[in-house]
Amino acid sequence: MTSSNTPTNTRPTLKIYVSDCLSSKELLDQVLTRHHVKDKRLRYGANGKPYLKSGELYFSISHSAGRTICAVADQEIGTDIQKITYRPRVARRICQDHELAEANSPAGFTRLWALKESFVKANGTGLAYGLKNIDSHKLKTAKCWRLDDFFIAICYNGT
Amino acid sequence: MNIDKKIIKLIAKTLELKEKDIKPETRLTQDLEIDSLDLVDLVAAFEEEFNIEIADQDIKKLQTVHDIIEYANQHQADA
Repeated sequence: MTSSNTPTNTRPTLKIYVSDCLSSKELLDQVLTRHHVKDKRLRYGANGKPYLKSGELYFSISHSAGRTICAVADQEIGTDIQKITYRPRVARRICQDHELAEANSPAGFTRLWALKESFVKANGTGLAYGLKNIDSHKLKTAKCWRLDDFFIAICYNGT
Repeated sequence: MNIDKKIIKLIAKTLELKEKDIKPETRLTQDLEIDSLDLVDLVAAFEEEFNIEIADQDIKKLQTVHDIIEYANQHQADA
């Protein structure tokens, strides 16, 4: 498990952990332990988003091709990791017209997918929101970057 | 080809699986271990093959292969 070098707090603004060997469940368990969460019981939102029952920390988990990411924050957070891939059929379904040029390459498509996924994971709606309804150019708090052959995106609640 | 076989063939092709591993009772996420990207790819393939539009709110209702078959049957009944 790797993370940035900032000191560990019980309520961080944002910390991101990446693992190449832990499952989502294992990584979440380790991250919650590191953040001194005693009550690890979960509850689930209407669309399956997991939360800590205690509400003392927000988290989001994602995995792709053997790599797992866990983001923890002091507010609603969504994260997505995706190994670079290209699905033109999916691009047509999730992209607005002005995004199609960017989606016409593996890196561009994967970046847009990760950004939109992080948005719907942050607001807890999941795919029901409609990924095409999200304009990636208007996301205010979403960030996306490349790590090796993966794109990682984070987004705060619905903005 | 009946609709069951057509859908199983479509799922196998889209997700690069063997048709014999896909049964009506097969659960998409638990049994086939597909992620949300695979699911949207499958939905898009289904829409293109059957020339229909699946509402985003309905995607989570498609939990098994049988659910997709029922959706196709329902759509054909509506048409």
